[in-house]
Amino acid sequence: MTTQHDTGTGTSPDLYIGVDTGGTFTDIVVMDAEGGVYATKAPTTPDSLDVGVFDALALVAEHRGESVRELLGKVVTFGHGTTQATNALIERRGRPTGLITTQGFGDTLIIQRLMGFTAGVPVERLGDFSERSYPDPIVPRDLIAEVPERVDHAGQVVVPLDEAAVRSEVQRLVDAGIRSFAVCLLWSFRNPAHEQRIGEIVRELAGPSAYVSLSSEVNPVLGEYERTATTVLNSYLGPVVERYLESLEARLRTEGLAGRFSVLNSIGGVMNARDAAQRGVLLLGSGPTGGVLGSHHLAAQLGHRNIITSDMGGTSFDVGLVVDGKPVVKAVTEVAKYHVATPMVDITAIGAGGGSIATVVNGKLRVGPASAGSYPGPVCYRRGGTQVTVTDADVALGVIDPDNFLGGRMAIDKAAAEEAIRTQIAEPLGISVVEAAAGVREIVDARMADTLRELTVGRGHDPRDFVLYAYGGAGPMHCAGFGAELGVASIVVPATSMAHSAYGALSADIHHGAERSESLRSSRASAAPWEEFDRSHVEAIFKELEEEVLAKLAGDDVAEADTVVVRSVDMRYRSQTHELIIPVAGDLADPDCLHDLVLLFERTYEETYGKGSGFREAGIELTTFRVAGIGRTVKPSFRAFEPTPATRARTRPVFDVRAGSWLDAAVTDWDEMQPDSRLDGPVVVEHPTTTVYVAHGQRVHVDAIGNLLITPQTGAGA
Amino acid sequence: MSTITLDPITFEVIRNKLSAITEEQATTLKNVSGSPVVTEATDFNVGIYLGDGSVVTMGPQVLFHSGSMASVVRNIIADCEENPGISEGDMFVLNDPYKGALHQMDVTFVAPVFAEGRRVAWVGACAHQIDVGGMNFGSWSLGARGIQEEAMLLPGIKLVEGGEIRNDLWSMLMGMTRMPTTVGLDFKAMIAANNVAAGRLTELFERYGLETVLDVMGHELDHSERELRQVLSALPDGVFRAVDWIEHDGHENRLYEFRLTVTKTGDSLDFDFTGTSEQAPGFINCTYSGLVAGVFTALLPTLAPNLRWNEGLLRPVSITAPQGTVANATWPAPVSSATVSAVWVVTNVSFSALSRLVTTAPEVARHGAGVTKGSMTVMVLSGLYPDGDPYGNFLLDSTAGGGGAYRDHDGLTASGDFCVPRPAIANVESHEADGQILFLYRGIVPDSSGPGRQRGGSTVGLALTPHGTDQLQAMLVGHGVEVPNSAGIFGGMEGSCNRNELLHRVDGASPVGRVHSAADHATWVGEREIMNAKPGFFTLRRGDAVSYSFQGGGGYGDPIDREPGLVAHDVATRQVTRATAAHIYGVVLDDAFAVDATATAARRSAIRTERLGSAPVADTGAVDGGEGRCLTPDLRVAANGHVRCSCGHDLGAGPDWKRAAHRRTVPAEAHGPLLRLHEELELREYVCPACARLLESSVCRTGAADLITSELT
Repeated sequence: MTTQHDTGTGTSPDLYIGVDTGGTFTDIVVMDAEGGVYATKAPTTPDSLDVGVFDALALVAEHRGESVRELLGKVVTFGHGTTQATNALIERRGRPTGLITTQGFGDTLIIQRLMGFTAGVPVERLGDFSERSYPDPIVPRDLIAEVPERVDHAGQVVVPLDEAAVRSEVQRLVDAGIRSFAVCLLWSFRNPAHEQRIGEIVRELAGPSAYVSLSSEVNPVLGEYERTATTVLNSYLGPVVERYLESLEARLRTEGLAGRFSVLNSIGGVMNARDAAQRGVLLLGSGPTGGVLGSHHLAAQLGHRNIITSDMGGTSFDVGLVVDGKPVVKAVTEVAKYHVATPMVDITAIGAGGGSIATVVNGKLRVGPASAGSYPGPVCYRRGGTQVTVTDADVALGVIDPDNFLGGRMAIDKAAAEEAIRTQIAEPLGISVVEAAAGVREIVDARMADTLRELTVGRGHDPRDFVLYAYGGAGPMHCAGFGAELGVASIVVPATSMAHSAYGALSADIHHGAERSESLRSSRASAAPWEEFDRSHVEAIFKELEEEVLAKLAGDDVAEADTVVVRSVDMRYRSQTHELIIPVAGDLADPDCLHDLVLLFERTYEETYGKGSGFREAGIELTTFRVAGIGRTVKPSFRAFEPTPATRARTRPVFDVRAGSWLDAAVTDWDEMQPDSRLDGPVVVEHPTTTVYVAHGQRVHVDAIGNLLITPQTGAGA
Repeated sequence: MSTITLDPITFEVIRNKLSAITEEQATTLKNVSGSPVVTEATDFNVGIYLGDGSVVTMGPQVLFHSGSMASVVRNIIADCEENPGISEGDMFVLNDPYKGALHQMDVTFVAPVFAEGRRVAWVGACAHQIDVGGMNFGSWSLGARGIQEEAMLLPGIKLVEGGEIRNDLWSMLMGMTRMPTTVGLDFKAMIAANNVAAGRLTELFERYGLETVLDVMGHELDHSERELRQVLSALPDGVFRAVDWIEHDGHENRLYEFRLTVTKTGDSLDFDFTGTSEQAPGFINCTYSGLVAGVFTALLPTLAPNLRWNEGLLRPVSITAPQGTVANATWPAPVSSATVSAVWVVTNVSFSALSRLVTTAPEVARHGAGVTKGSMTVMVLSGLYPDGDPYGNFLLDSTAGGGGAYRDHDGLTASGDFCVPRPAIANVESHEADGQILFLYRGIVPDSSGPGRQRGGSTVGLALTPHGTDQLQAMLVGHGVEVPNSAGIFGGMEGSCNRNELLHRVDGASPVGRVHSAADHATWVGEREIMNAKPGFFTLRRGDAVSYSFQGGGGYGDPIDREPGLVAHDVATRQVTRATAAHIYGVVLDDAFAVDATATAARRSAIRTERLGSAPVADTGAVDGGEGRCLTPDLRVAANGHVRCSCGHDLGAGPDWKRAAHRRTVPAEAHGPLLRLHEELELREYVCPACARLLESSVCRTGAADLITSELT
C-alpha cells in the first residue's frame, strides 16, 4: 500500500501509535511529539490478525526509514482497536461455554425475550415472517445447567443453594470438556453470594485455568436475559481475546515496545490487555467506536461541543453522536442478534453505502438496503458485480475519476457502469443515464439524512447546533449531499479520515466503567420526590462503584491528577421501561443534590420528548447507578501540515446534483492544498485512499492541520 | 388526486421521509409510555392518513390496529365536523369498537393536520390501555352482556382543543380508570407522538410543496394496490377454505365457529364468512373493524411481505360477513375481549386459507405456513402495595407461544404472536421488581410444537406465586384450551393447546423450591386444578401457584417425512420427548440421542400400515414432485382435472379429493400429549390410500362434512 496523509515528522523521539484491525484493512496512524501525523493501511490477515498489525508497522517503519524495532522503541502509547471479538462471535469461534443458572430458568438465553429473531432486522424487512430466525445458540441447551437456589428482588435467599447439585452439574460440564463458564442467577446483583460460591466450586472442579464470569461482577444490572447474554458472551469471547492480546503484546514487547499497550473498548476508551481479557465482551463493536472517539478527540481541539459522526463504507452507514462534549452511550446494544447490557457508545447502522444496490421496482427507483459489498462490488470494479450501485452512480456523474480512483490502484470501468445504469434504471424509467445516476445519489443521500435526522431531531436535538464529521470510504464523497440535506452548521472531513478508527485508538483515554442496579422510587403523586430518596444511600452506592474504577485506574498507573470520575444514574417515571441516563454532577453531600438531579431529569425528559410530556404524578424512579473512571493520557496536538508543491490546476466535468447540471469542478490533491485556504464548490479533493466532493454553492476551508471544513450552504442556514 | 406529475426520485425521497416520520412517532410513543403493554408487547400503532382517513403509513407494531385506523378517522369526520368542529390544534380520542376501535382498551388519538388553511391529512396513535374502567380490573369484561357494562366508551371526544388539553375532560377520563398514572402517561405519549408527526409532516409540506407531498401520499396507496394486484394475478384462481373455533363465551362453554371461504379471481380476493356462528352474549365478539383487522393482519405477511403496508392493499379485497355474527357483531353486543378472541380466530382462518393460496405458486409458496399460536390468554394480576397504592400487572408473557412451520424450515420456538412483527416479553426480574410475585419457572414446554416434516415452534410455559403479599386477585381469560387453533398444514399436525392450572396451597409446603417445570405439577403435594379457557377471577393466596402455557405452532407436512437427524436434535434440545419421537415421528433413538436407522425404518413402516389398516401399495413420491398444477406440496391437478398424489395415485376428478382418500378419526393424544378436544370436536386424518402419506390433518365438528380446503378453478 502506498503512503497516506502525511503532515511531516518531528525530531523528538516520542511516538504514539493507533492500529485498527478492520474487516478488510488494518489501519495505522502514528503521531510524533510535535503532532505530526502519518497514516497508512495494510490488508487485514483474517487467520492471524497480528500479521496485518506487523505489516502495517513495517510500512510505517519503512516510511520513516527505520526498523520496526527502532520504531517500537520510541512508542509511548500503542492503542489497538480490533474486530477480533466481533468476528469470533459472528463466526462462532469463541471457547465453548457452559452456563449455570437458577433452576426453572435454563431457557432464558434461548427465549431471548422473543427479541432474537428481529434484532438487527431493518424495519422494511420485518414483514417477511418466512425469513425470521433465532441466532445459532452460543450455549447449546445441554451445556446449560440449572441449579436449585433462589434469591428474591430484595436480595433475600428464598431457596438455599444446593451445593451438591452444583458440584454434580459442574462436573458434568467439566466431563463434557468445558473450560469456560458463565454463572447467571436471578437477582444476583442484589445478593451475589450464590454466584460467588458457584464460582468457587467451578474453580475447584475445573481447575484454576478455567475461565469464569459471574453476572454479578460482569454486569450487575436488572434484567436476567441481557445480563445472561452479556455474561455468557464474556466467557465465550474472553479466552479468545486473552490469547490474541497476550500473544500480540508479547510479540510487540519482543520487538521492542516499551510503552503502554492498550485496547479500545466499546464503552468509550482504552483498557490494558489484562483488564480486556477479563471483560472480553467490552471489545464487541469497538471498531466503529474508534471513529467516534477519534472524532470526539478532534472535535475537542476544534472547539466543537456537539457533533454527529458518520462512517459511510461499502455496505453500512454508522452514525454516532457527541453531545455537550461527551459521546452518547446506550445501556443495551444489539450484537449479532444478542443483547449486551454493558453501556456502549451508541452507534446506529443502516444499510447504505457505496455498494448499496439500486433497482427499479414497478416504475419506482429504490436504493438499498441490499448491498453488493466489496465483493463482487459495484459494476465498475469489474469483479463480477452486475447490479447498479451507488459507487457506479458516482462514477457516471464524474465524482469518481475512473483513471485516478484510490490513487489509480483500482481500475474503474466507467462504460460498464453507464451501460448498467442505462439498461437497469434509465430505460425502465424513461430518463437519461445522468438523471438516473443523479437520482440514485439523491435517494441515498436523502435516506442517510433521514437517519441522521431521526437520531438528532428525534431525540430533541437541533441539527443546526451540530457539526457533521464524515469519514469512511464513501462518506467524504457524499457528505456534501446528506450534510446539506440535514442542515448542519458545517461538515468536517478529518485529516485522518482514511484511518479514523485507528486515530481513535491512538487518541482515546483510559476508560473503566462500573454499574449497579438498585431501584429507588418516590411515591406516586409526590410533589417533592427528591425528599423520598435516601441521599446517604445513594452516596454509598456511588462510593462503592468509584472505589472499583479507581482501583482499576491505579492498576493502569494513572496519576491522580489525570483521573476523572463521572457519575450518572438511569432515571425514569415509575412504571416506564425506558430510562434516560442523567449525569450526577453535584456534590452528594449537598442536601440540594437530589433536588437538582430530579429537575435535571425532568428538563432532559421534556427536551427529549416534548414540552408537557413530563408527568411527576407517576412518581420517579432511579434504576441503575453508573460510574465511569477516565484516565487522561496526554497526546500531542496536531501540527500544521506542510503541503507538497502543487502540480497543475485541473478541472473535470461533474454532474452536480444540487445544481442539476454538469459543472466544471476544480480538482485538487489533498496533500497539495494550502493551509488555511478556501475554495468554492464544486471541488473534488483527491487522495490516494479517498475522494471528497464539495458541491456547488458550498465552500471548503482547509485548516492548518489539514482538516477540510465544508460550509454546506454558503451564506444561508438550513 | 392532483395533476402534478411526480418524478420517481422525488417520490422515493418523500416516501422514505414519510416512513421516517412514522418511526419517530413510534419511538416517541414508546419512550414516553409508562405501560409494558406498549413498551414490551408493542401493543400500539401509529400512522399517517390521508384527509379521508386512508392509511398511508403504519408502524410495524400490532398489525390489528392498522386495519381499523381509517374508520376511526372517518367516524370522527362524520360525527364531529359540524359540532364540535375540527380545527387546527385539535386532537380527538376514541375507543368505541362500533366506531373503529377493536375493543375499548385500544384508545386512539387522532389529530388533523392543516396546511394552507385547510385540513389535508391526519396523524394518529393507538395503544392498549391497562384499564379503561368498567366492571373488571383491566376492562376485560367477563360476564358482561352488553357494551354498556364493559368500559368507558369514547365515541370521538375533542380532548385537545387548539393545542391545549381540556382539563375537565382529562379529569373525567382519569376518574374512570383504575390506573390513572399509567393511563395518563400513555395518553400524554400519544399526544406527544401525534405532535411530532404533525410537525414533521408540516415541515415536509413546506419543503416540497403541499400538493407534491399529498400526491406522493395518494400514489403510495395506488402503488401498493398495483403491486398486490400483480401478486394476485400471478397466482392461479381458486377457492380456499378454513374453519376454526372459540370455546366459551364468558358465560358458558359453547363452541363458536368461524368459517371462511377465500375466492381468488384474477387480481382480486374475496373473504366470505358466511356460515360463521351468531354473535355471542359474552365479550368474545368483534365488530366490523375487528373483522377487517383480522383479515388484513393475515394478508400482510402472506401476500405483501415486501410491499409497503398501507390501505391500498385493501382495495383488491372484498369482505362478505353476515351481520350479527361473532365476527361482525351488532350493537350492543359486548366486545371487550375481541382482540384476543374473534379477531384472533379471524386471523387464523384467513392465514390458513391464504397459506393454501400462496402454496399453489412456487414464487410465493415460501410464505405459506402452519398457524402461529392460534390463541391468546390474558392474565391480569391486581392487589395493593404495602403503601396502599394499587398494584396491577397485565402479563404479556402469553405471547411466547410457538410459530407455524414453513415449507423449508421449522416454526420459531417462542415466536410471539402473528399480529406482532417485533415482539418482546419482559424479564422475570422486571415482573418481580415490584415485590408482589415470584416466578417458579419460565421455560420451553417439550412436545408443544405441532409435529410435521417441518415442525412448529414450541411454546413457553410459566408458573408464579404471590410473594411479599398475602393475596392477589387474578383474572385469566383466553381460548384454545380445548380447541387446537394452531392448525397444521398439508399433513402437519396441530400445535399444543393452552393449559391453565392452579396449584392450591398446602401449609408448610411452598411451591418455591418445589415446582421448577410443568412436569413438576404432577408431583405437587396439594390439589391440582386444571382450569378451562376462561376461569375468570380467582384469588391467589400466599402458597398458591398459577401456571399457564400456550399453543405451539402448527406443523407443515407429514411428520414421518421429517429427517430423522432433525428429530434426534429436537430430542437432544428438549423440544420433543423420546416418546413423541417414536410415537408420532417414527424415529427411534439410542441412549446417545443417535438415530437407530433400522428401528426407525420399521417404526415408520408400522405407522403407515396402522394408518391404512394394511400395508401401503406404493412408495411415497417426492414432495413438490409430479406433473400438473400444484394444489399442495403433495397433490397435483392433472390436465384431466384429476387430483394426483405425488406417489402417482389418482384421487379422482374434481376438487373433493378427500372422498378418495383414506379417512380416519384419531384421538387427540395421537397428535401430541398436550392436545385436547372440546366435546363437540373430532380430529381427522386424510391419508393417501396408496402410499399412506398423511395429506391433511384437521379438526372438525363431530360428524361435519369434509371441507374442501384447496380448490383450483
